[in-house]
Parts: sequence; structure tokens; C-alpha cells
Amino acid sequence: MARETNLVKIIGEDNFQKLRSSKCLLVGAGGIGSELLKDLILMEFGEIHIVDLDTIDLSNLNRQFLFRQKDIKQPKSTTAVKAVQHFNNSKLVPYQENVMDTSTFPLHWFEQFDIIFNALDNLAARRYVNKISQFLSLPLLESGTAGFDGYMQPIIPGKTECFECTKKETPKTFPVCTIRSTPSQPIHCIVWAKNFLFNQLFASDASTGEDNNNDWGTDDAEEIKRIKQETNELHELQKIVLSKDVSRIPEILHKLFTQDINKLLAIENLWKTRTKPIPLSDSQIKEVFKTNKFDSNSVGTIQEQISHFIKVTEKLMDRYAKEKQIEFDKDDADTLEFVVTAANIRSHIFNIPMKSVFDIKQIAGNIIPAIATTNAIIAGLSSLVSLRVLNLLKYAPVNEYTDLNMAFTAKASNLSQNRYLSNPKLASPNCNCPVCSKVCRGVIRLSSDCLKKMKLSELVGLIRNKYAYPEDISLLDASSQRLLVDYDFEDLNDRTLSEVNLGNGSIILFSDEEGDTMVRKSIEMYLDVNDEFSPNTCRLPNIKVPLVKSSDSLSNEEEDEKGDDVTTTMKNQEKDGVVILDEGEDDIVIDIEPLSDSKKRSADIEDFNGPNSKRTKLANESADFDIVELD
Amino acid sequence: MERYDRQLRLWGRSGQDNLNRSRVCVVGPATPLLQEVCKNLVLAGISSLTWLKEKSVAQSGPLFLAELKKDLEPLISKQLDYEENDIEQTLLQLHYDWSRFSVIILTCIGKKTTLLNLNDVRQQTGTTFPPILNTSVSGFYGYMNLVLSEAHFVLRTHPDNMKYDLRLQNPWPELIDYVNTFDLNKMDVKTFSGIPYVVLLMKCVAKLKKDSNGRNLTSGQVRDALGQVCLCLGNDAFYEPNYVEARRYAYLACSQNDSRKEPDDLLRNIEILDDVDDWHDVHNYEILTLLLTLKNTAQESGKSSFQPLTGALPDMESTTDNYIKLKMLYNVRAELDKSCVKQNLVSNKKMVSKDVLDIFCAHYGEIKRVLPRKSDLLSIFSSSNSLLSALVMMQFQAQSTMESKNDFIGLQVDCNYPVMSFFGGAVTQEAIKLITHHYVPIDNLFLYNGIDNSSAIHRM
Repeated sequence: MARETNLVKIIGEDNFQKLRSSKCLLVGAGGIGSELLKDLILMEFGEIHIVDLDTIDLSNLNRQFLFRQKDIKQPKSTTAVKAVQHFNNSKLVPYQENVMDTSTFPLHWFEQFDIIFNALDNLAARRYVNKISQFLSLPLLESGTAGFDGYMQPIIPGKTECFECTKKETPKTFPVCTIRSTPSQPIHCIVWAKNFLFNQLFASDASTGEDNNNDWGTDDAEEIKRIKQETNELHELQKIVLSKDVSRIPEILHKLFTQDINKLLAIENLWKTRTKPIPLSDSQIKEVFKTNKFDSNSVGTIQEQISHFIKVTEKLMDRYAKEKQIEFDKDDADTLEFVVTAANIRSHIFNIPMKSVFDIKQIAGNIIPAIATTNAIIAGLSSLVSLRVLNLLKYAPVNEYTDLNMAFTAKASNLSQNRYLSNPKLASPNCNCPVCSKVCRGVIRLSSDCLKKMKLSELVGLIRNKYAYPEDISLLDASSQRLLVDYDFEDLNDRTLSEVNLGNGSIILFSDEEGDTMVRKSIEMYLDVNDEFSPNTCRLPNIKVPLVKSSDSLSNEEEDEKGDDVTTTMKNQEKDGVVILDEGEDDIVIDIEPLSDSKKRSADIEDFNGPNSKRTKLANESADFDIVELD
Repeated sequence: MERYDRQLRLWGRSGQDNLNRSRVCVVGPATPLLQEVCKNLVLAGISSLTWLKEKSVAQSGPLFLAELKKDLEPLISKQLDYEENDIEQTLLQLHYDWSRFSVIILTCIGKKTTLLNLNDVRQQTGTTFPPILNTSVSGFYGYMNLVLSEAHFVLRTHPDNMKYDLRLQNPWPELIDYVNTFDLNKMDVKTFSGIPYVVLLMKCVAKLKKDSNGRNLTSGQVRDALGQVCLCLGNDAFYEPNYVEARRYAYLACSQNDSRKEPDDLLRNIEILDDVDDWHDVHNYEILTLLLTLKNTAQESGKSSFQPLTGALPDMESTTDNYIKLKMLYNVRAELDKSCVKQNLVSNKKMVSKDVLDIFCAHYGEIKRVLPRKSDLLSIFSSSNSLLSALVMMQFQAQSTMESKNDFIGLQVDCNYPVMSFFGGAVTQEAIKLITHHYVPIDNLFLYNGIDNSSAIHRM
């Protein structure tokens, strides 16, 4: 076959056989995913497994060339596999599942692969796959695009920077009071409508957000009190929604846009330097126009917005009765229209310009522009470098992985800089990286039988002996940030692993709490529970855990300096057009308080930790990180 | 339009309309590169595709489309207007209408005569010949060459850092009046903190102009003036966010940072002579017409230059009230300027589509002109660049007779799919830039090395 002879010419007969017997995992069958799938097939990879939870949407069709109009709402993974059959020569295995689901994809499932290709659209899954690649020392090819910009980064665990070695842009957050009391930009009203109002009315349980350390953005006790009270009142609004009585919709309008605004106006402190909002009048609420179809590009009058709000709320109430819960989805016209009208009415009240459906869709849906050409470019670069990562290219043997290049398509129109692509060499792992450098890493293999019988104290003993940890240690369930054992908390020692809710996919963090200047490095271990192991199996990984300088002994100055270094490199990278991008949507997060929810959660933690509240709090605060620095 | 939602956000509805109306011609043998280009073009929304086939002896490499027309059709929501002809026969036709194509893309041409003959046709046709993108890939390497026949105007360059046209140096009377309503001597720090930095900077410029001639202002001078202007409020004012912003953006008020300088230079270089009606691309003609209109307007009103205000105002620290008033002033002025341009068009009996006029006025300053170079399709044969020479040699010689005597490892492989995929994306991207008139195309040679992903842009 012409195809094979071609590849043999490129990599040689022996390496071609290696490629034919290699297995790769492709995470994502969207924009980059469909391009990668095609490239990997035409390169003759032996076996390709494709994981994607998503279904196909009309707005995918401008770039995901394996999908057709008739495929809309079908799963991406299986549809992609069907679409490539006529040119396929590899074994393809599709999964319509979430890659982070440990029951479908336990750690040992990943072990069958030689290389992983990430073609993802969100930060959480990228982080997860990065971690898996670190646990198993599997090479990972990370990639992403946004409009004309894109990047591709090979990650060789232990040898080159991992995904977390450079700081990633985190979603924007806004102080609660800006969203709830004093909006000054359209985005504030959109976030209010989408993340707050919509969820209060149509989510299954009316709690939103998940952060309990609220950045209120104000010290005004009166205002905080008002915000809390308002939240409770909004639960009342959900009762109207539940009542299915559409004639009560004007009550919703009255509460949101007249009553609440009047209450705000009563807090005089807020309006000393700000323009006062103007609540809707009763006549505005009552006067309902006949509505035309919403034009997605123009803004229209406030009266049109109100009429549309009433109409779409009717629709959503009707749907809520049937569907029990509705989630905001930028491609769900009703939910989008609700957010658009609610945001615009609020904007009008606060003297903020209203926005068109088209604009609000971009902001609320966090829409990132996407085109086929950039995806083709990035997928081409990613599949090409995989030959070098697997060391199949005789012309260009890889002696040091840091000789490999990553690639960024610099702003495609950046003529002055005279380049299309930048190709920095891979860097060594960042020694401050919480994922790949600050801890050692390994997998504990144990039978389910063992999970039920082994006591926590026994596990601690095993780990302590194997890696020569001192007496004073701590053990943390890193997946849920729960403290399991430390020097003055031994209540759980006699429980079995399964009794303390450890199981397949749990990640535990074991740390030295004794050393003064030198400590044994912390070790993070993944519990791989497999019925195929013989009943008494509990195998600890054979890795060396070195002694390192304790963080206490590092002077503060030193820490500061390091911090500075990191920021400077970040700045330089930005200058070079090096930004990490997503081909898809990450959510805007706001710090809205889930009153009931947060109380519940901290209670849980207290239950477990007894008197050790200081540590609990620490663990909570750094919940964003995968490692917790205990004092 | 829902189908194109994600790309509309890059070039807008009018850019997408251009794509949907465009006719693209691809020339070359059946190679993976050709089908990658066709796939990407059709996905972007072009609806007319002509393939002028070159018969090739070389092996094609893996194809994922069995039959081009049949496999491309499902990628577009409407009918695909598709034509397929032989390139040799087409080049023999004396009256073949090449000008109807928006762009011509040459992919992995195998016969030198094809390039020679096409170059002749281009020279005979003159400036109305469409832009040509010539590209070829070999092993781990490839090149792409843009050959323009007429000046290409970019309507919006979409720069990374948007320069706002604030007219800090030369405000118009209504804006001056508004700035004067703020008397810093008669207010407390709280009121002061609600003044947009644009107003503060204009006060500085006014002061500097009064004190000296106000020419060639440096940001240092502006910062000093800012301190003096705000001195009456006491030290507390220096910590207000609007003051901090004014300091940070002081450079916007200095002479060399005038956002209008670049377009001014462009205007100066445009000659009335350029005003021929014989243009290949209607947008190029329209943008030139608008630029000449500006020149006209300036001359008629006796000013050195006239540039329409874009009306865009960045977000800044301010009370909502002050900000909205300021924004209104900029908007009103922008509308006035636009109607002024419109009027001049009418009186000179020129026609320009509404979309182009709107974008032109709203993003004036993002206009860029890419001039055709003296080089032509054959310049690749006389390049001193070693990679290009090696690539061209590979392209036009029978591969079996080539001995490996060059520095480029992995050049002698006829098809390396990932590199084809990369170039398929890159070439289509350039075609899209040309068709939409958004973003600046490469000028004019791009070289790629797939071993280390290095690339370079050269001018020929």
C-alpha cells in the first residue's frame, strides 16, 4: 500500500513495526480531536482509543469535519470513529465517557497506552490527565487553540515541564457586592443573570457557587446583611416558578427590578460616589407589548426586553415542570434569552449600556473563537512531534527530551515580529511545581479485599518503613482535602481504608512532620484497587523518596525571590505571545455565597477532624492546589 | 449563520459574507496537501471551488477523501459550486477568466511548465490577476509564497494591543467644553476621584500647550504636568485610582504616540493616480476609495489631514455618569465624522458598501496596505536561501534520481502527513485573510522546518 511504503520511508521498517504495535489515547474528539484522529490514522498508529463525553452541536460543524448536519446530538466519539472508516487502517476504540471518571477509567486502564494526546476544552480535565501522565510516567502531548492562536507542548514526566509548571490563567472572579449591589459594567449584570439569578430559579437545588471564603468586596455590614437576606427571598421566587402559574411572572419582575432596587437605594452609603439605579415602574412591568422574534444583533428598547423576559420565563417555567432542573447552556435558546433579557433589564436600571444577544452569548457562554485552520496546524504539529517523543525518527534521534520543541502559533497576523510560529525548547520541570516536583509520586496497588481489611495505622506503618519516614507524619486524602492522620489526631487509626472512604482512584498525601532542617519529601500516591490482584496484595511503588530541606528552613527572603523569578518569566512569556489557551469554554467563577451549602460542608470536615480546626482551615483555603502545605 | 458562529467572532458577518461569496481555485496533483486545503476552505464557508488538476507521476500519499466533490459537499450547508479541469488544457485557453477567482492556490506543483505558463498569463493580465499562494511540502519541510498583483488592503489588522483614538492632543470644541466643566481648584478629592483619566490628560496637554508650544510632548512632561494640575487637591489625590491610571497612560498624550500617525503616513503615500477603476478585488477598491475620500475632505476643509474618529473609549476609573457623558461625546463625534465621509463620497459620485464604510470608520487606524512586490511566481528559482533552493529542487526533479547531498535531514520523503496537515491549515489561513480583508497576510515567503518546528518569513 502506498501509505505504508511512505511511512516506512520516513521512520524505517523496524520503527514502523513499533508504531503499528503502539497504542495511543486521544482525549477529546472536538476541533483538535477530529484533526488529530485523521492525522494519527494516516500515520498508521496501531491502536487509538478516543474519549469524549460531548455530543455534536451545529456550531461545531465549521471545523469538526468528521461531523455532518445529520449527526447533531450524536456522541462525538462514536460518530468520529464511524466517519473515518473509509480511510482507517488502525484499531479504533471510542468511549462516550468523562475521562475523569475513575470507575470507567481507573488508573491501570491508562497504563496500556504508550502516549496520550490531549485535545481538550477545559482546564479541569487538562489538569487531571496531566496528573495521570505524571503518575504513570506516560508522555503527554498537550494542545489548545483560540482563534488564530494555538499551542502544542510535549510533556515527558520527570524530564520536561508538566502542564502545571507554569501558572495558568484562572477564571475571572468578581467581588460579591459588585455583582449583587453595584454593577458598573455589562459583564457584572450578565454574571448576575447567569450565575446567580438563573441558578436560583431553575437549578435543582437552589445553591450556587462553591466557594465559602467569600470575597465580599465590601465591609459594609448593612450591605452584607442585605445580600444574605436577598438570597433567602430569592428562594421564594423559586416557589413561583414551581407553582407553574405564569400569571405570577410580573411578581418576579417586581421583586427583582423594583423592590430589590429600592432596598439597595435605601443604603445611602453605596450611592455617594455612584449614580443611583432607577427601579422599573409598575406601568413598565404591566405594559406588555406584542413581541417579535429577538434580533440577535440589535439591542432594542427596555420595553422589548421586559416583554421578552416575560415570554421566555413562561417557557422556562413550563419546561421546569417537566425537566425538574434546567442548566444554563449558551446553545439553549431559552436559557440564553432569559439571561440576555434579565441582564439587560438590570443594565438599564444601573445606567449601563445594554448588549445584543450575539455579544452576551459570547460573554455568558465564554465562547472562544475557533476555526479549522488553526486546529489543522496544531494537530499537524502535535502528531509530528509524537514521532520524536516516541523516538521513532532516525534522522533526529532524541538524546535529551529538553531538545524537543513546543510550538505556539504567534498571532497569525503579527507581521512586525516576522514569524508565524515560535518554537521554544522544552524546559526542565519547575522545582516549585506543586504537581510534578514538590512531591514524589507513585501508585499503591491493592486488592479490594485488602481495602476492606487493612487498617489506616497499618498502611501508615507500611509507608513509614518502606520510605524511612520518621515517627511524626501526616496523611491526607488529597482528593477531598481531608486530614486522616497526624501527630495529635489518631482517631481514625483503627478504621479500615474503606471505612475512611478511601477507594479506587483516591489520592493520598503522606508527609514528614518531624524534620527540622531536612525532611523526607512528601509522597503522593494513587490507590489502584483491582480485583485481579491476589487477596492480600498491597504493593507500594518502588521509588526513592529523598531528604530535602524543609520549607521552614528556607528563609522568607529566598521564597520571595523565587516568587519574583516566576513572575518575570511569566511576563517574558507573555511578551513572546506565550499564553495558554483553550479551545472551548471554561466558566467564569464568581464568589457568590452558598449559605446553606458551605455550612454543611464545613460541618462535615469538623466531624472528621475533631479539634484540629486550624489545619482544616488551611487545607480548605488551598483547595485549589493539589498539595497542602501544613504548618 | 449559527454554523459559523465561532469564526464570526474573528472576522464578523461581513468577513463571513466575503467568504461565502468567494470563488477559490486550487491547482495541483491529487495530494494530501490539496485535499487538506480544499477541506479547510469549504469548512470556512467558501461555496465555489475549482480544481485545475495536474497529472502527476509521483505517488500521492494517503488521502482521506475518496472523491473530492462528493466528500466535500457535506461540509457545507448549501450547494457547492464545483468544477474540475485539466491545468494544461486550461492554460492553453486564451480567454480563460482567471479574474473571477478570489484567490488561486498552487499546491505541490510537479511540473515547472505549469508555473512558467501561469506566470505568463499573470503578466499578460496585469494587476487584475488574483493573488496567488504557491506552496509545496517535502518531507519535514515546506514553503509558501504569496504573489500579489495589486495592492492588498487590510480592513482590520486586529492588533494585539488596541490603540484607542482619544484625540488627547487635538480635542474638538465640544470635548474641550466638557473638560472645562471640571474645575480641579473647586472640588474635593472624592469628586476628583470620579473624573476619567482622559479628562485629566487633556487638562495636562492644554496646560503644556499654554506654557510652551506643546509640540513633541514626552510622557515625562505629561506626568509632570499631571502632578501640577492636581496639586491643588493635596497629596491624597495622588493615590486615587483615576490619578494612577492617568500616570500610567500619560504616554498616550505624547506626540509620538499619536494613534493617527501610522494611518497618516499611509494616506500621504496614496496617490490620486491609484484611483483606477480596474481593480480585481472590490474591497481593495472600496478601501482605497475611502482613503482618497479622506484626503479630499481634508483638502476641501483646508486641514492637513482628516481621520474619522472611531468612537471607541477604553474602560476606565470614573463615575458611571461621567463615563457615559464622555462616551456619548466620542460617539456623537464618530457619527458626525462618518456622515462627513459619506457626504464626500456622494459628492464625488463614489459608491462603497455600507459594511465596509462602517468598519472603516469604526476601526480606522487598523487599515494596512500590503504592496505587490517585484518578485513573481518564478522568483523561488533564483533564491539564495538554502532551504528554499533544496525544496524547489525536490519539487521539480524526479525524486528517484536525487542524491541526498543537502543539509536537510528528512527532506527526501514524498509525503509526511502531519506536515501536509500543518501546511493545509497555514495556506488556507492566508487565503482566508486575503478573502476577508481581516488580519495581515504573510509578506511574502514562509519557510518551515518540521524537525524543530522553526519557521521564518522572508521577503522576495
